[in-house]
Amino acid sequence: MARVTFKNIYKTYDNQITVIKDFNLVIQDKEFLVLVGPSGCGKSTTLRMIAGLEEVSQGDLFIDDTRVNDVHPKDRDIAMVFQNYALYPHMSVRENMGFSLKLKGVPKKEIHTKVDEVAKILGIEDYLDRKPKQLSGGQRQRVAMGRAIVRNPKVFLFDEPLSNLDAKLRVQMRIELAKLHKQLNTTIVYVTHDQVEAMTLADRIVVMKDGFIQQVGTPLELYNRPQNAFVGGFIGSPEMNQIKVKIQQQKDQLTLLGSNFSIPVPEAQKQALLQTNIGDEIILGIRPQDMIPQKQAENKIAIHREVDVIEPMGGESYVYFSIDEAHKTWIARCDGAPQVKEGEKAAFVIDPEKIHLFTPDGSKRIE
Amino acid sequence: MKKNLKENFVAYSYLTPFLAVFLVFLAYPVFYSMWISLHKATIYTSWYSPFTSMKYVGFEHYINILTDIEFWWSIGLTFIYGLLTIPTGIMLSLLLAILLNNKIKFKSFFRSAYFLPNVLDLLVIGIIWILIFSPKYGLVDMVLAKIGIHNAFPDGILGSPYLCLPAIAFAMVLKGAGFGMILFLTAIQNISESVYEAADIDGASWHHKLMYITIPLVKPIILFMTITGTISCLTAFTEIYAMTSNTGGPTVQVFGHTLRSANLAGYHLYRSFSEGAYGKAAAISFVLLGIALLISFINMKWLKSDN
Repeated sequence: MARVTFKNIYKTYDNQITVIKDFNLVIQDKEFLVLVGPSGCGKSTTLRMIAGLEEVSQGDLFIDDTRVNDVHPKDRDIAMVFQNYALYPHMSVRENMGFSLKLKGVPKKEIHTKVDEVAKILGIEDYLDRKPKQLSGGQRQRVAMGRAIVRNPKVFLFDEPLSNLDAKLRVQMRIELAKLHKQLNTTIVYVTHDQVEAMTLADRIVVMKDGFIQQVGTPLELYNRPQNAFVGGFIGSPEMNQIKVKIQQQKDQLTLLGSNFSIPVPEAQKQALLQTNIGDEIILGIRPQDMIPQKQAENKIAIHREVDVIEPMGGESYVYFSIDEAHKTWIARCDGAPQVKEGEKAAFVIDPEKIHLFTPDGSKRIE
Repeated sequence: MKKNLKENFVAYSYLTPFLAVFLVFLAYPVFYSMWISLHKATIYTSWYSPFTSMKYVGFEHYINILTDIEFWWSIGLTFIYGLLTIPTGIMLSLLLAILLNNKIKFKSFFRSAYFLPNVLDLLVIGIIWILIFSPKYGLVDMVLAKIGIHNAFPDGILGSPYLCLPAIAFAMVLKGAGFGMILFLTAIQNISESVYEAADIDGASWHHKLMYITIPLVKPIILFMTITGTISCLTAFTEIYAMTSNTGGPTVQVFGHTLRSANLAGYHLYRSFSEGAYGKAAAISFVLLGIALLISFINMKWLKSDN
């Protein structure tokens, strides 16, 4: 059992800047929870509060049923993997991994066996006598994870553990982390600013901004039904295209009117939109893969614009175009061989059922 | 080939100023003192023909000093002085660095205050400590009198053959602690905060963190301070000169010999020079060099840092 509960948590620093505001969350036992958000959103501070490395200014933090606000990090039964690995540079890999057990007074032989077991799981048994500086970034990361696993803690905390690795290694370690979670079957709280990591690893994601929780949900919930414009923009790669549009009513039909396009509002969102004022501006969001660039759009709803740039990625291509006179760039995603060409007019076909609508300030989803 | 010659010429022309200074002021004196150590040179030697008017005596000076009780006494005292100053100096410096690495008020003031004695001349410091240690009106005696201990040191602390050397060592430890503190502070501040945080989570107390993280990671500084401390002890002269009023400290009887209680090797060397025994003094300096190299080698082996 290891459930982490935040009750009305606030974190205010000495300079009176509040970085976490009214944070309420229950992290379930054995859950892989990812805290994600832009730099400075408070995700690392939240993680460090669980670790006990930052004090809780207000509110209650529980691990299981124990209030841990004033409990020293060593007594919380947690383990943490740091962004810069934080390995002890003068100790060998074996000593690094066995350090916590040594401090606990575990017999040497037992430490040896335990370290060997974990090293085998992580595939670092050949490096046990090396010093951290003799290891590559990926190997160091494994040692840092090994150091955490050896302790067999209630909760694992990961603070952007893959951000110092190159792109290829990051993908590899991501997969290993997912496997590890299944193997360890324990609670993991993971901080990242990379939404791809969040989507691929998490059971649930917490999206944060300016110290507030924006949305909590499974990766697909967040992707399919973002609760505000920020979450819509943050989750998904390339990010969701967004623009302000006016609501126009012609008889029974509601239309979203952009500077040079109009999209009929689908039935599902009509009722909700009727409650807002006709003529108001709201935010329209369309994911890049929900717009198909074509040469012509016969009897289809489409935005007609000139293609600025095409980025071929191999299996898919990104087509960039300016949505309005202010040259706000939108992206459409299509398969590897787009029908359109740079500099030519194209029709970006839209399925109105797949649009997202948000209130004018972007704070709420309209549905 | 031509290009190489040109490059070499340019390189040597840049090196020439240093090489000239090095040859005149360092290489020549070293060579010349070695020459003197193998010859008999006195105040009557003609210094206008320094290489011809001296009589070659081989290793006579070396044999003489190695059988001289005063020399061994000075080496023994130097060893004691080293034991008094080096470990305490390192511990005090490390303690100050750890304390001043915390978030405390007036941190910069304390750092400057502890470092300040380093910029003072040793003679000035010696005189200040003579005043502090002097009998009756010295600060130490006055403080002791306040707490009811009157006339604790009738001859003064520096006048006592047993306290003179420890008192000098005490003064020198305090003088050097500020510099050591700066070195340790730099090393401690280079240790990533996250390493300590990882240790916190691993269950380390402050004592564990000191023993298992801070001290091993500042080992290069400990090694540096041990080696420079050893060299300072072997060449200690000014502090002895200043604090014993150029006497080498009060006398003490050892196996029927009257010896000076603060006659450290460096001061002994100076006395030999001032008495005109140039050959002997030069030989002492090379023996001291040998001892310094030996101790440094042992230190490096012992404290060999993996980082």
